[in-house]
Amino acid sequence: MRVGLSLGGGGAHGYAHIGAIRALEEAGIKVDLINGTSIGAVIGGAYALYSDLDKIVRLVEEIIAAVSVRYFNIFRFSGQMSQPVIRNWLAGAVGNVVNLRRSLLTHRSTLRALEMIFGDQEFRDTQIPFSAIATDLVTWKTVVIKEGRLTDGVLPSISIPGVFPPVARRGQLLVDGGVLANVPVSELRQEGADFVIAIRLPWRIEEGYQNGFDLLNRVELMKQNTLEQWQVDDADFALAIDLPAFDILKFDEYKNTVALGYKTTKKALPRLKMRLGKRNG
Amino acid sequence: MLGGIGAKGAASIGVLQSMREHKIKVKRIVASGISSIASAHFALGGEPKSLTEYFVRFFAKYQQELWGLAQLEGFRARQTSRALSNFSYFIRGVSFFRGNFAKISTLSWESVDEDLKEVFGNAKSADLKLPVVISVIDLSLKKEVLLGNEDLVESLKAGIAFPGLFPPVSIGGHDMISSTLYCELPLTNLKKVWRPVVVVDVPNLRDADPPLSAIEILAEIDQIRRVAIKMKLLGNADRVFNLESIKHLREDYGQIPRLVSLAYSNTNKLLDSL
Repeated sequence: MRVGLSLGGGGAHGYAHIGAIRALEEAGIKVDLINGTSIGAVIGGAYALYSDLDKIVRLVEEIIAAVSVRYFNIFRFSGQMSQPVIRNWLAGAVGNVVNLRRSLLTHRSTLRALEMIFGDQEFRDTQIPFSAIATDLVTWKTVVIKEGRLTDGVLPSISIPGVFPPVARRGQLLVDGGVLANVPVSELRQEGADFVIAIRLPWRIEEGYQNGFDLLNRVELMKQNTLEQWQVDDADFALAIDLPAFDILKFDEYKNTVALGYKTTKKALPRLKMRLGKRNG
Repeated sequence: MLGGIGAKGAASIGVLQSMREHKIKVKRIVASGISSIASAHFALGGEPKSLTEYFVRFFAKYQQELWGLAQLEGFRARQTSRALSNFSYFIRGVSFFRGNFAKISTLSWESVDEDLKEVFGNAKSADLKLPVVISVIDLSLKKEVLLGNEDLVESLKAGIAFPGLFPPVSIGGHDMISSTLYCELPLTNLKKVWRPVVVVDVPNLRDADPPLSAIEILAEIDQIRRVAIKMKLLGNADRVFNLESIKHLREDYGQIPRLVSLAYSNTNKLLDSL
């Protein structure tokens, strides 16, 4: 029986995947193939390549030191800015940018971070078969990337629409796989997994709203959650790592997230082992 | 079951007209968006096609107001064209991004209240000759819910409370918005006792040009998810009528008479073939 690990997207919450994999390793659960969306593709790809969690934690620390990851906080202005004039001016400025440009940010820092993790290694170099999930804006379909340089393959998967530009690749226009497959369970089955362990990082819909943008975002989040739930329902074992206290945009606070991923997975291990045991007969 | 997003929801007029002429017995209508107005009018005994002119005026008023705003924003030909074929982009691009970014909505209910009064007067949900259930999103419960016995006009407003365009509507202490941007057909809460369920669907069309700006990309993603949810939920329907003939039409009030007449002949053909 081939055990697959499907790692979901969820911004900075994705560090929880490191803790989750550590708990699986300690329990002796061997993973035969991995896929992931967005941050799930970054952590999944790194683990598939090195199979060394300590190395991944070191890489995370190096990236945080070398690449500015705090710039994501630009999106927090709506809740924190107390002066309406400045807030509205900023909102207008963001509005201008999104009408004229493909995205708020470029790929510069992301590419640097990915190159620090993957170097020039390719998908075929990984110790565990791995695929990254993206969405094609041309065909409206999910795309499974499993060839070429890991950096090039993971980049589309983390191209959050509106934040980073889409990646043009072989006639496709690729963005974050979280559009349709935030926890890519069925895609991993197609790769040959007989038993899929899905790790989900739920994104809570906040209470209250301030403007039309909030309302549109809320509907988008509802859609994402619906699609994600359908995928997770298809998994043999699904685990949700709930991180309500951690900001999804704060990539520099990783230690607690890793610890919570570990703790949640450890707690779920008896159920997972039972499920695996049943399937093994 | 009737849905359809934006002006395309007006196609329901043609569908209901054809069903009435074919003497199809409808036990209940589940509707969302603009089609809930056509459905409630039908359920009150109104002649569906008499609403066509009303819808043209209704959409003309709001679209012209929004186009005025769009002109102020200096819309170029590409943006105008995209907004006319893509409701998700229309909502984001024209109505509230940029200058209106920080507001709850671009339009207010004041004038819609008058428009609805013109058709429904003081009618109540209890006056409907057949039940009409309207699908909306309850912002407190964070899910799609159905309105049936609530205040008729308020329920209709909630059905068309497109986020960014109109403010949410408060019903029973809960804020409600339109469910059409979640799923353009109200398929989530189907009840077993309502079967058989016939769904009237307008197939979705992709823009020929791939998205360029961030807003175009976000609007495209709205559509991609909406269609994915609809396609999965359509599996719950007993029968799906596809209004193929109107899928190429644009979201423009000038197209509404054509939309209605094509939906009417399309439904006639479908019903004749049964």
